[in-house]
Order: sequence, then C-alpha cells, then structure tokens
Amino acid sequence: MIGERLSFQIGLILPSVLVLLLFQVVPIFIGTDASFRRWSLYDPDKTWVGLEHYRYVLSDTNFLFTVLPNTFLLIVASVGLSLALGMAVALLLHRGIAAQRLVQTVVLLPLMIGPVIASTMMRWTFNDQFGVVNAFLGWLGLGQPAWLADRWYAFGVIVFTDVWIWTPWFALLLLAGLKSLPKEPFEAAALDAAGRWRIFTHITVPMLRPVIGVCVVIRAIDCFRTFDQVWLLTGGGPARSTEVFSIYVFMEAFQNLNFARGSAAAVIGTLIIMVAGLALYALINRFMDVSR
Amino acid sequence: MAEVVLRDVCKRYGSYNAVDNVNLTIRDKEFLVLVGPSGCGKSTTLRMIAGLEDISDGTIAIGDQTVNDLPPRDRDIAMVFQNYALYQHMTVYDNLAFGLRNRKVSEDIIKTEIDRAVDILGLRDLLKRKPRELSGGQQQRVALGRCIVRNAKVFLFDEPLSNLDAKLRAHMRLELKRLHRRVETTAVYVTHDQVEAMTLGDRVVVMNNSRIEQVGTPWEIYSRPSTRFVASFIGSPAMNFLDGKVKRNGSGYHIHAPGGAFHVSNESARGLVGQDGRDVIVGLRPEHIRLHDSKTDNALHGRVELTEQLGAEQLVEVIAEGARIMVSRVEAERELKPGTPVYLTVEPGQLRYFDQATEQALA
Repeated sequence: MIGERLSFQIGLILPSVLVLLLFQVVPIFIGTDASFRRWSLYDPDKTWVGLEHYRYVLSDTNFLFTVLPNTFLLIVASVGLSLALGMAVALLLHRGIAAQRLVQTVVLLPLMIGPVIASTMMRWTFNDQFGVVNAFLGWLGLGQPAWLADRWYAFGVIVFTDVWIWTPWFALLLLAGLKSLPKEPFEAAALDAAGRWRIFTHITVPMLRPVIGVCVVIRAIDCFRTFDQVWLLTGGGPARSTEVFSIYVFMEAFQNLNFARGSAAAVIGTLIIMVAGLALYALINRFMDVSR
Repeated sequence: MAEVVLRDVCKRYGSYNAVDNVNLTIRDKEFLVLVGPSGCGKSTTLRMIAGLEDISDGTIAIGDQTVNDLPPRDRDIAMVFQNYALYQHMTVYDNLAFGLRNRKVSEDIIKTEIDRAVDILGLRDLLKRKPRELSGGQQQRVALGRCIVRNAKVFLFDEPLSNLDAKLRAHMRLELKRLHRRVETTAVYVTHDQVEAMTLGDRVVVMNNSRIEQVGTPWEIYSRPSTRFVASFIGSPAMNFLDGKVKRNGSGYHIHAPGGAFHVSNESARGLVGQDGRDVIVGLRPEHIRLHDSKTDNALHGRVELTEQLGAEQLVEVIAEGARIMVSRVEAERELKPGTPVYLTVEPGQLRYFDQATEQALA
C-alpha cells in the first residue's frame, strides 16, 4: 500500500526533478568544471589549470573596480528607489483614491511588459536625437545631454528603467501586506494622537517589516543578475563603464568566447550572492519576529 | 471629568440603520455599560463616541463640546479594544508612552505617569517586555494602562474581557471595578455579556435592533424590565414567558396560564388595571419559582421533564400543558425524577406582564 503511494508520489515529482537535473544541476557542474580548465573554442584540449581563471578574474581591475561597484550600486539604487516608490503607491492605493481600479491597472502595466521591451522603449525615450525626453528638454529650453554616452547619465537611465519596471511589483506586494494588517493598532494610534507620518514610521513600517524584508531580499538577489536592461540600454558602455556582473560574464564567455573565464566569474558571482543573500536574510530575520 | 451626551444619533450603512435614533446622557464619572446581542449597534455607538465611525445623523457632545467633526485624537478619550490593539513591536513602556509622546509630553512627566499606572495595574516587572511575551490578562492590563496614563476625559471599552478565559474574566471584572473606583473617569463599556453589564455598570443600557430598549441601574433593569426583550436578555437562566389571560375577580385579578391560574391581589398587579379579558405575556424568573410536591393554591401544575445538577443547586425543566418552564435554585439534594408531578408558585409581586402585540411591559 505504502509502496504504491510512494511510487505515485515519485511519479508526480519525477518530471520536474528530471528537468531541474538536466537544465540546472548538470549545467552548474559542467560550468563549474569548465572554470577549472582551459576551455575555449580555439583550444579544445580542456586542460586542467586549477584556479588560474579565478586568479585572473579576481585581479581584473575592471571586475573589481567597475563591475562589482556598478552591480552593488545598481542594487542599492534600484531596490531602494523602487521600494520607496512602491510603498508610496501602495499607501495611496490602500487609502483609496479616485478611479481606484483604473489607477491600479495602469500602475501594474510595467509588470506585464517584458524587460527587453521596456528597455528598448527607454533607449528610444532617452535617445539623444529622437528621444522624447530631449525633445521635451529642448522645448523647455534646457540642455539636451547625450544620455547614453556619459557614464553617470547612462547609469541613471539604467536605474530609472529598472525602477520603472519593478516599482509595481513592490507596490503590489506591499499593498497586499497593508491589507492584511489588523486595523485596531491603527485605530489605537489615532486615539493616541499619532499624526500620519508618525503612524507610518511607528506603526505601519514596523508591522510591515516582514513583507518589506522578504521583498528586499528577493529583489536584491534578482537585481544582482540584471542583464537585459543594461545590455539593451548601454551594452555595458560607454567604454565598459556601466558594465554589471551579468554583462561581464556574458562578455567573457560569449563575446570573447572564453567559456572557462566566464564560468569562473559566474561561480565567483554565485558565491558572492550566496554570502550576501544569506547575510541580508539573517539581518532581516532579526527584525522578522516583529509583528503579531 | 466629563459628561457625554448623544442626541438623536444615527448610523446608516446605505439603507441599513446600524444605530437608530439613540438618545443617551452618560453622567460625569459614571460607569455606563452598553449591552445587547451581537449586531445590536452597541459597538458602533461606542466607535462613534471614539470618532472611529462617522455619525450619520444627530450630535455627540463630550463635556460641553460637540465632537461630531473632531478627529479621534482631539476628543481626549482613551479606548481599550477587544484584542487589546497593543503595538506589538514596542515594549510595554513604549506602548504606554506612545500616546503621551505624540502629545509632546516631556519624558519626565511620561515617566511619572507610567509609574503611577504601573503601580495601579501591577505591571512593574513587565515594562521591558514586548506584548507577545505577555499573557492575555497582562496584555489587557497594558491596554488599560495606556488609558490610565493619558488621563483622558472618557474611557471607552469595547468588549475588553471577551478574549480571556472564564476565570481570568471574572478576575479582571473585579479589577476593572476597583480601577474605576480609583481612577474616577467617565467610562462607557460595551459587552454582550449580561453578567459583566450587571456587575460593572452604575447604569446599564440594553440595546436591540439598533435601538435602546431600556436604560437603568442593574437592579431596575433586572426587576422592572421595560420590554420582553430586556426581560429575556438580562438574567440567567432566562425568564420564562407564558401566554396568559387576565380575568377580573372581585378585589383582584386571575391570570390564566398553562397549567393553572394565579390569583393576583390588586396592589401587586398595578400593570393589570384595565386589562380585564386581555391576552398578556406573563414573565416568571426561574429563580422566583418555588416547586411544591403537593397541590397548592395559586399554582401551575406540570411535570418534571429534565433536571440539571449544578452541585449548589438544580435547574429543573417543567412542562405545563405543553409550555416549558425553567426553574432554578432547587435544592441540590432534592430528588426529582422525570415525570414527577409538581406545582409551581411565584410571589405575585415578582410576576411581570407584557403586551402580546408590542411586548412592552404593562406597569
């Protein structure tokens, strides 16, 4: 009886286990193995070279002083801004505004647009000759910068695009969080003469902390892997100055066709994000035991 | 410190009247209890006093100020919620201090106030704890403390004891009573529990179907209920109601009821004057009925249906011509087998009469 039950259960999970094994686990092993060998198209011997590629990546000034700082700057800026904006939108929707349903739908639109399309849209929006942003600035009589040709302007456009895409996601989850909070503490606070801002800082945020924590961890880890936006907007340029981690790996592996070096960078990235993610999670977990 | 006056207060949700034309004056330093079944409008009334619900019609005044358009923060009231509504992420001390800090009270004064409240409530050792580390009773005390430190004009209680177990509830009831004697403040207390209403209230307001049925001291409510609803709601076990017919008989009246007839002298039947020949509802409290084994004058005849042994007393259900009559305070050791014939008598002064159509008391 139990054997039949067990085999049924195995039968249920087997397909997904197979897919995971074939397309996730096996490639991870192949990739990790590749990172220890000389493995490129022009050198098919796959000679074992130990940590040579790791040494290269970790001493690559571009990786250390441009790619990693860019990646973390993007995480901090994008997650921070979309959290703040998403919170504002969620609070607005929670309080109730005119044309609530319409606004809610419009606000969610960016979520339904693929990052590739959004990025392409933004590239044209910020195009220095044909873009609507510069047209508007010209109409105001202001300067018209070449947005994607300057490092910090370009980086700003990347952050802007990422925030545009992800704000609705924060808004949606935070709104769900807000709706699930008990209303009595808020009523008690109203009787306790707390103003709006004090209610927000002393009641809402502490009670929402678990939701905020989970959102930030998920998004931060996800942001570490950002590829589409940067690739389409700047391609890591001008002069590799906006390159982030995923672009670096992609360039090494598929532009320079040095699979081993790309794999090594990817493994390093995985380790970084594992440590950072666990640390972030532990940090947030300390605040987690808060509400109720 | 303040009187609360409700004048023609209504609360409507669309076409539904949650509170219908409530007129009520809560006297200074009075402990007033709003009691009624769920959905009767008592909590909504309380929340309108607090400012947590808009008033659809009428006015509410606290002290000599109409508060209809004042936000809760400006009404100088404090409230205890059913689930305590403590700030879970703050320590007990910060919970108590929050309302004062919002009012820009200096930390020195806050400390003094909290010290005072903590001594009254015995919370001294819990100040550094978070609410979730406290028992239900302790959390309730913190919620009370939040009111005490505020020195508010009016205390509002929204079923504060209903989340506690029976034993703790009885204990907290006494504490509340003691507290009110110590911190003399106008208090409005909402409950569905008639025992709480009777024991705590200086006066009790019985509500039903969005309206006030009766206002009075606990004794008035119990001894002279103004409607059949009040009579049935207050008292445990509930009052028995029998269909009766009034017959004039020389110097007094006869009440014909299932299982027999009572003779009621003129003095003890003020309510029946002019009711000759009318059908009425007769109300008998279970605790006022005496049970006799042998035939007695002015008694209803019936048979024992069931007995419930409570140790200190017995509850006996008697069937008299199809009508069920509950009798309480029957000696525990008395043996009453189902089917035993019994005779029920009541002091005439303790009978209540209600109009069959309006269910208003005839008195």
